[in-house]
Amino acid sequence: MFSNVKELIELSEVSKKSISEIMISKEMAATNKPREDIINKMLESLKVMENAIQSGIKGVTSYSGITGGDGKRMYDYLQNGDYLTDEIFIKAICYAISTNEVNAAMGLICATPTAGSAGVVPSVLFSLKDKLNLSEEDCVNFLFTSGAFGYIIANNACISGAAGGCQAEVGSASGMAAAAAVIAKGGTAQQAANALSLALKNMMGLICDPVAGLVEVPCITRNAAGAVNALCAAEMALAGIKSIIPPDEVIEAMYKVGISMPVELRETALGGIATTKTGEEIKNKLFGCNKCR
Amino acid sequence: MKYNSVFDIIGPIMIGPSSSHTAGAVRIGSFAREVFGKAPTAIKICFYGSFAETYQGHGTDVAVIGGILGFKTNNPNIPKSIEIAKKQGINIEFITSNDIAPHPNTAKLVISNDMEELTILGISIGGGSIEILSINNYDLDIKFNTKAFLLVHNKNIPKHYDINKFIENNNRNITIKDVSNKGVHNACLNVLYTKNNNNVNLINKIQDNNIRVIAIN
Repeated sequence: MFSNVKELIELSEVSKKSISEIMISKEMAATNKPREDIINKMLESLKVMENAIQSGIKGVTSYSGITGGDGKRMYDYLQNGDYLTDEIFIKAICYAISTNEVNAAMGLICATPTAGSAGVVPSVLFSLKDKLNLSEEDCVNFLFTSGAFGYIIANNACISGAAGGCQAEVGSASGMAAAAAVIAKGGTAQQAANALSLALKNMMGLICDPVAGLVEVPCITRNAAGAVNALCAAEMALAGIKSIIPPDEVIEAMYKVGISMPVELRETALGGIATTKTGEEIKNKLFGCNKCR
Repeated sequence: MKYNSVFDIIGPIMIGPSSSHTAGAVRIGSFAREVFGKAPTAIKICFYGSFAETYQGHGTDVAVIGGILGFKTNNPNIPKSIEIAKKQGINIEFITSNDIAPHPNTAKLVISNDMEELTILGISIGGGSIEILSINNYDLDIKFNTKAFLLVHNKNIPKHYDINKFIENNNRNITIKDVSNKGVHNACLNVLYTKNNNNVNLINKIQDNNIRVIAIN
């Protein structure tokens, strides 16, 4: 049906079907499962995402103990009302952090497309839900839309920090969320594709440098960056801004950048902030010099 | 296509913290358990690349053991899997290697009991998805557009079977490769490669003969 963004957009325009509808049809064809089962499965993921946010805003601490409570801090900040920007922006940050704190506490999350980037898509969805008056069906369609674009990125580039750096995880998630946000607002498929490109280009080259090898620092707060970058890209696309470089070429560029990244910057904790003085101290305090249990 | 389903992207629902280093690792362990067919008494895991550098922080060690114990990616007991395994009397060893690996997230699992031993080499390619690269040190080398199934049968069944009888005449779309560990008491393992899209009848015929069939990809 579609193997890249150009084909997906053309299919949507010619068939007059939404991207989420195209993804649902493709899933039915690939798995021979009835539509109802596929919708229900996505609904399950939606509920896990919502539960993770709800847990996170109450306050959780990571398994290692080095992070925790920032989701609650952002939630209290939101409730106080005395912030710089606006409610949607703060919610996006809050929900992204909350999800990834639950992840770091070895709690239950939905990988979107990965656990390290699990906060991005749900936070954009839930931060926009009230303003856009999204029904449960709209929310499920948001996930199918983001899934369609993620599916293309995963098959044409990569979605693991070890293979492509954080641009492949939080970057991809940000692109997926940006595209879905445009559609949720009533934008066109072409605008969604522009949002994807813009979001990916904004995160091109992002390295994976996890302190002590954990999915906490900078991962948790980077999910907040991925979420607001998605909102940024969606707004630009909806305003009519086009990506000069077409989406499939941006995805290919991301793939090549990932390959050319030194291994120290690809989820090995051998570069970036992982090897700062404080980063090394944290690692030694947690794991010492003996790696094996 | 490496990823075939939208639920490879939106999903899996899993215990954190890492889809590649936790959930993917559970799935590699699960595959080994499914092939071995029972809990082993000894497990030896070698991590390469990024797995080797970050396995503790990502829970890759508890994840692989959890998979071998039969846990799915969303099982809340994953963080305690090593304790649980040790209570069951399972001997566990982890080592790391600096050797060049096929992928940054590579694990070699050797699981055994007194009489049998199985070696699995798997990679976690991202988002929780995995690929099994070799079984008992035989490279699987699964080509594009090919489905691979592992056929497992206990050597002790009295009737010796000829796997070729399951393949219809003139069907050039199917090949078989023996990947058994040649030790005395090990199961017979054969990989069936097929370029056919619909393999339901073939699989049913094979299963009717008390042979277990496990999808590899």
